[in-house]
Amino acid sequence: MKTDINNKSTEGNTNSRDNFNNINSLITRLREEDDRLARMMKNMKWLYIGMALFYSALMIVNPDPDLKLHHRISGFCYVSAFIISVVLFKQKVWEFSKVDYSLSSSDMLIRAAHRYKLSFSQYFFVLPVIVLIDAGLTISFFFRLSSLEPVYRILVVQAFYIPVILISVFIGYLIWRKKHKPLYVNARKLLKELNE
Amino acid sequence: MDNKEEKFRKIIADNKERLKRICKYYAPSPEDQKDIYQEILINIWRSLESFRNQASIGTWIYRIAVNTSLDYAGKSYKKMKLNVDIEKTDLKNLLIEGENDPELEEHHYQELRIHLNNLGIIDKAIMGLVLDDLSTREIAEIIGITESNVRVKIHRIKETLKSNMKGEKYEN
Repeated sequence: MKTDINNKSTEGNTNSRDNFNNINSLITRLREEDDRLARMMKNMKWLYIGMALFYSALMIVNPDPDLKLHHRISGFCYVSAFIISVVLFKQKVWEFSKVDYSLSSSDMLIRAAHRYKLSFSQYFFVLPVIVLIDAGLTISFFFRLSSLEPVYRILVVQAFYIPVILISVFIGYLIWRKKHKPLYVNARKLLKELNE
Repeated sequence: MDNKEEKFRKIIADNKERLKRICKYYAPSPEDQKDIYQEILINIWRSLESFRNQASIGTWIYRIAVNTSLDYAGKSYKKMKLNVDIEKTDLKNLLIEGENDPELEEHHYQELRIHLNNLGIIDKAIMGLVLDDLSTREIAEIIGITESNVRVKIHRIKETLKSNMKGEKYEN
């Protein structure tokens, strides 16, 4: 969030006293930002609950006789993956938005280094989501690709799914390298300087 | 006006001069000072819930200011600068003993500023707190290291500055 506390400076003539005094507009903006975030979190929560219920009803408890057991199982996998990813996403948003600047510098740097570190353990909990979606897709396509041998049906799904996951991981890595790696390196450097 | 806003206004009003001074220390240009001041205010607002009245408000404010500066230096990929205000700085206490010639003192001030800015970011942050007359205990609480570690660091920084300035003196 970047708010402008310089509204009172006019005609491009920057008056630092005005900038340091203009608290009212900053408070208004901070308050608006707080309200917007609170509203967004509330709306997101209801949207996720609504979608989870909708897909559960559509794929799992739908009384439609055309829906076979494998449809319901794959639907259950998707809904479970969706619920887990929502929880993980919410945790990450919380972790990144609630940075406590009133900690001591060393504690803040340790937390920053942990937050921006790219480690398998941090993303370990994404694995169930990947596996559940894979299971859902495999079950779903297993019955659609009935012209193929069973083992090939599974392999065809994996041949599409695994590259998609690998590309997603690579894009995630590129984003981390560009956005988070410099922050991680900086936090580590400062911690080293602190402990010297 | 709710409790949070009231608390925020009071903290800002009570610590305005201190905040301005900190911004001046850490940001080289008026534009950067405004940016860092704004960041500090935003972080004070966000950290209000963590403030307990029993904690020293001074330490709390300094923690937020120093952490924001460290964050700002990292995020903006800028090298943090320490702008030492000559009127506020007791150079004699810091480094120079027995200098009464104002011109010489001014010369030393310029040198000192250059050498201060050649220090690492953490060392600059510590010296910023030293120049603001904070005690070793307070600096230790803000930075999160032991008091003895702070003393060692300050001693080491002063020695480095002294030796750099002496070296320059011989060169001149």
